[in-house]
Amino acid sequence: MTSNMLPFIVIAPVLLGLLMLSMPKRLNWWIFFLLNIVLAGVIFTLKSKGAMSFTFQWTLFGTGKVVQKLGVTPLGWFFLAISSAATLLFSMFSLDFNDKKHSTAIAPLWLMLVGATNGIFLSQDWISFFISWELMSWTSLFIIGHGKTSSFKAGIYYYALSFFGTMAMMAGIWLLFHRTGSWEISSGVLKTAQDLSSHRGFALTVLSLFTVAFLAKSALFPFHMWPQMAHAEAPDDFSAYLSGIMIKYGVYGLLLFIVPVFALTPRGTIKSISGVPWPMYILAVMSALTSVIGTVMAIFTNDMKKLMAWSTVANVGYIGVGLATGTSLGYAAAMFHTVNHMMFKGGIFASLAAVKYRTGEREMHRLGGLAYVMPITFFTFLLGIIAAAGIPPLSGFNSKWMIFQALFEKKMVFVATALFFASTGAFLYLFRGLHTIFLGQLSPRFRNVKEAPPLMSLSMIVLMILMLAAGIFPGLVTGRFNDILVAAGLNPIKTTLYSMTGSTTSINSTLVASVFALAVGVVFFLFVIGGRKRRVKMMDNYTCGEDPLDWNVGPDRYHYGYDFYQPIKGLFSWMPLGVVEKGYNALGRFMERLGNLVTSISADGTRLGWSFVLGVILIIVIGVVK
Amino acid sequence: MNAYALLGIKLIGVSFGSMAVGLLFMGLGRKVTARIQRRMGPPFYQSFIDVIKCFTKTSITHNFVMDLGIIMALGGLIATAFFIPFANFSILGSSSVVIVLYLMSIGYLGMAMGVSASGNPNATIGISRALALMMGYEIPFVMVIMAMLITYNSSDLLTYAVAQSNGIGSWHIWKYPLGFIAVEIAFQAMVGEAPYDHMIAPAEIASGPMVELSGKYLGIGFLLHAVQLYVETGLIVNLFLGGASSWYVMLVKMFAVYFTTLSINAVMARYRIEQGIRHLWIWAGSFGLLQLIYTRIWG
Amino acid sequence: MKYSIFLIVAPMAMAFLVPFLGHVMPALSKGLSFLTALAGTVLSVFLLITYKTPFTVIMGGWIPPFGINLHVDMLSLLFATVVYGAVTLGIAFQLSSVVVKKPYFYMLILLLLTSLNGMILTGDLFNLFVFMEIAGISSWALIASGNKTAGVRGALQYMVVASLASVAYLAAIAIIYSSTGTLNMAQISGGLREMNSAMAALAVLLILASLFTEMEIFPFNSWVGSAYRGAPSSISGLLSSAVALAGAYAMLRISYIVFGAGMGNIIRFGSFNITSILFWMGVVTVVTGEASAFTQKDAKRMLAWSSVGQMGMILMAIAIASEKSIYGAVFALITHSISKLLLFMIVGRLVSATGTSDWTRWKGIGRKNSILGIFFIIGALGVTGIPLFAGFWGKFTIIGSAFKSTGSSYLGVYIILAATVMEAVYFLRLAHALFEEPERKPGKVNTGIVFWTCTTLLALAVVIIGVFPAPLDRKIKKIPSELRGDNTSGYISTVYKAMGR
Repeated sequence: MTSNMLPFIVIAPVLLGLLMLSMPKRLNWWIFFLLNIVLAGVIFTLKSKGAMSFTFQWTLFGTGKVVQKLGVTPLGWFFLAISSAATLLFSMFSLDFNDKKHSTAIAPLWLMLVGATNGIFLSQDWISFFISWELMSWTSLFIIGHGKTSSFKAGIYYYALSFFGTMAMMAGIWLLFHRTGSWEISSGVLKTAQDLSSHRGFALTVLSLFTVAFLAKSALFPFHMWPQMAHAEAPDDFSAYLSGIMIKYGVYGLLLFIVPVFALTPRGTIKSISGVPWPMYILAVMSALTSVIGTVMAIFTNDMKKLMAWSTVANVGYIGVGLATGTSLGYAAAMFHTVNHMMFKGGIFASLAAVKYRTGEREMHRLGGLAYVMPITFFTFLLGIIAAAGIPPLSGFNSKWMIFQALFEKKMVFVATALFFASTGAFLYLFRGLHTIFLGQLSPRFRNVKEAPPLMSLSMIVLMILMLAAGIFPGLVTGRFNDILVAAGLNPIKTTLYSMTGSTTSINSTLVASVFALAVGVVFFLFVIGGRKRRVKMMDNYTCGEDPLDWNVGPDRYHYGYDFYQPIKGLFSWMPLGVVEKGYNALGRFMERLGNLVTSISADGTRLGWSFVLGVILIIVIGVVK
Repeated sequence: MNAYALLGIKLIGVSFGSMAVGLLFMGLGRKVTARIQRRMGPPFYQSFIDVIKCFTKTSITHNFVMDLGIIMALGGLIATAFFIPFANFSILGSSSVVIVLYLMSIGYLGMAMGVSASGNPNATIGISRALALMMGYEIPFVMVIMAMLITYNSSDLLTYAVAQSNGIGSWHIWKYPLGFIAVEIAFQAMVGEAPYDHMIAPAEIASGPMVELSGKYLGIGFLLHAVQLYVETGLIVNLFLGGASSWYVMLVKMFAVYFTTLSINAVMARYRIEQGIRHLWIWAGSFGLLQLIYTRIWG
Repeated sequence: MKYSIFLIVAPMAMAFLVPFLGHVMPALSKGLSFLTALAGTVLSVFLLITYKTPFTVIMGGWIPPFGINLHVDMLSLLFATVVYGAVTLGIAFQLSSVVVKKPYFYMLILLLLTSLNGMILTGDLFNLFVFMEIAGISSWALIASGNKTAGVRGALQYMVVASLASVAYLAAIAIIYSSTGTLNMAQISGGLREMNSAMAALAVLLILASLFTEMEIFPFNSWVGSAYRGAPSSISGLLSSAVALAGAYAMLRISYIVFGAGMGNIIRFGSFNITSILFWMGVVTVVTGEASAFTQKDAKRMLAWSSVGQMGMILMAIAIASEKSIYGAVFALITHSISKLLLFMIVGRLVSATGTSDWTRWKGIGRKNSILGIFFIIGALGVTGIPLFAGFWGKFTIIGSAFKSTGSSYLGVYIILAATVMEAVYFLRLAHALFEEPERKPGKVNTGIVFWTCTTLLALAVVIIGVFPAPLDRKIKKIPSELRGDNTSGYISTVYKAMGR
């Protein structure tokens, strides 16, 4: 295992993906799965080899000497490891998902995307980072579109916002290069941290440009509305990858560049609000706003994938708040929540994909009662939403607790209030999803639905185990963080396998899980010694003596699923939701009008002549005014 | 016997103890309500009889999820009860209020899951209202707790309880008056009594979640309410009323809180769900917010 | 070295031969025209490989200012090669198309070839004008030879604006000649400063107006949509990759040599700021060009406006006038020619296969003709400037130089970056539409060995230059120093040396 493995991890998937374009679909999915096993294996052995890097030099007149460097840093390896493990699980899932009826042709593009992802996490210089970033963007666009017009509309929205961010990043990269003379990321971080004291305006410009890029990719405010389109319209197995891994690129960028800059800046250099530098405070507020918006929008959606996409937006808001506090606890919490979100959102989307696979339905209110026929899928979804709601003993509680501890350390109570609102609101939409799809009445159409195919079930079971493990033994994840924290210029945090220490208290997660198990045992005992129970049919309900079938109310209509929270819709009518979306649409329409105006000049000959005159006048005006 | 087994036995004792305390309160509460309504009311041990009777009857079940959900619900609540300091003594050593709040949710979630699996829309409507209401009362509650948190720099309930043990003047009820008002209003919703008894809403949605419960399920449902009372009144006592130095003072204080709740319940009607949430946000919320701002800036 | 004159003369001679031969043996005449172009390509590549330093060829022994000189340096050779290559491929593409063109068509292409190379190789201002006129006339005729009404309409629009441009140019030459007494570019350079600044400003204004027309800058580019739409696809491709290229070349030469732009200086005549004109016209062009392309349902118009956008960015790079920006501009121009030609070839085939150039009707064709779709994606990514494809390095360098120099404004760069978002959107929109679910079953597009050879060559070029830009880089990096007026291998000194002074 030499450092030559590093370019292999990046380039092999890309080339293999290109090759796969000419191969049959079924074979593609097998190759995809097998290569992911290889990649996961290689990546997990990388860690033990210590710091490793691969450099590649070339010179171009325009860029000067470029030293492209792929290297294994603690942060990069962490993201690489979790994404390759998750991708492996998803590829196993996809193997069964893409049978004759449901198959999509996205495997080659997905493999190229995996290569680009590895490139992003391994890049130590901006050129490699940028190349991988752009490759990731356009391949994911084609995957989201996957040949359907409506899906492509969702995808292009995402791509436009993302590309806008990428262009901002290009500007930022050049500004950094002109300032430091090097393309290396670490020297950029150091220089910008220094510049915060001396050349404040320049440093803030660079930071803003990069932040725009990373905000756009991670769907934080004001770029928060693309997941509900893109994640929902993407192929069902790919939605898990989108929500689980792809949304984390922006988080990685923030953790790579923005947070260390502020961590390296000595205290007092830059004015702080509530103990946090004011740019980071603004980031925290925007992230909290993202959480609130995501939660409210999720509560009132009827489509299950859109609902989960908004949930992703809300969760990324938590992560953003965590890292915006700039403390080691916050940074660790952000990373922890990244991992947890990957697992539970992956599990949730996987179970949704399984449901869609078996029933063909995507609207929640047309489903119902599937828990009785698809138990494994149900349990995955259940554990997923317990984790998403942040309930002990699953993993989500640990990371959310840490985020709150970081906020309490900095006494950012108003941001914490907004996050609590989002947390409570999460219950609402998560439970709605659970009930509407899996509980309630089972429609006669779906009475013969079978459980998900074996490989899909297996990947879901593995995800469940991981969620439980990270919940009961937080140290399995948090133990990795101290190297990363130290490398970013922060202090290490105190953790053990069983407990986490925050700013106000410490929690022993294993203890919590054990007492919960004990309590359940006690109740189970009571349950067992209680009286006999008799099994009755689902429709045999208390209905005040009437029979619903008398009024043609079968299980379909008897199931309470549509517009679940309609009574409280009015509560949120004062919120200006959708303002940002309207803004973007207005911008798009303005550009269309501009374009139409320009092309209308050629509509007839006199206009052509006048355009010449207009041009001359324009030249004179610019020449004289400037 | 090693320490873990001993702890386990103690915890089992606490489980049954909390259930007993809760049932006792429920029974006494029925007596109180009856007297307010100028009736005699059942004896104070009535709830015990009810529960035992429920457990002896045959019950119906619709599917395995119902069983699972109900068990999970009571299990979660009892686990929460382990974390409430009783008479300034915390059996598990740590009693973080954040754990209490989140662990209670598993009780909710389990019950919600179990009763929704029964297939009766009334149950689900009750649950959806309960969840929506939760959004209403959690926010003010949490704001006040945060105020305390940043004052003491700890989220441990035991710390709060011990800090108030210097006589009645040191109780938080005087130190955080606005917060107490906010919490009292929110508490009414937390316990599910009028004017915020949307979850049960007897005449409207046929008891909401309880509609399909019978036999031992109903028994567990009763126990759920009992332990919920124990947990929530215990929470208020530890937060605002100074904890307690002995078990009977603790029980008296807990019942005092419940008494207030019952009295309000007996005389008020129910709000509509959106009115309820709005009032919680506006009234409890503003008091809570004021308390938070005050504590953040001048506390 | 003297052979460089053949680059201009050979096609001109063939152009006279072709119509006569065409009456007798049409196939032979068409083949001959192709061979001429091919031979010229080989010659220019040979010259490129053996190139050492710039040199000047004095025509007919008459020394300027009485005579005309040709100036051959890396920039002219590179562009001449690209023009020849593009025309060769264009002729091949047209020959392989189902539409059969008369031999006159090929004569006109040869004339176009002559004139474009003349524009590129000449060192005299009036000579440039003459060749520009010939290029104009041949382009109008070629455009008109397309689809009946659309072709004539496009040609007429181009003619109207170009005529105004010629008049302006002529007037400018008159002013310059009357003040400086010479028309040789090297001799004029710097001479503008001695002129009365108002006269200089006027001359500059007129020249800019005319060059902007050639280079498709807003608002002189309103002819672009109809012209590209009406022309046969091979010609549209050539308009974009060869004609606009020559226009950009003229802009480069005139800015740096005639106006005497030093590197990094802002050119001013009196209070007339030339640098900012070039810069802001470039920015406006990018915004309006991309916005217009964004609205188009017609694929050819869309590509036309996309070229406009690229030219705007090039103009901005010229305005910045630093070494890196010149490098970037040249790189971008070359890669743009390659990618655009590829795109026009594919679009042309799609138009003839489906009978419509409305791209919304092309849904699903890529599913049956996947390589065509993939090549389209390659071309699109090449133009947009995505890394690992050709256009990236040029664009990247231009943006980088914009942030470094004094001649530019950060605001303008931000605007351009924002406008390129639209570019990515409309290109990828079309690319994906090729693979979307079709309304009717798509058929196989008629292709042939010639078509595949041309497109594969171009697609490979896009990808190879994207991943290994070093060979092209070695050639282009000599250019900035050669453009300077102030050193020994510079333009001006070379010319003077050849004149014996």
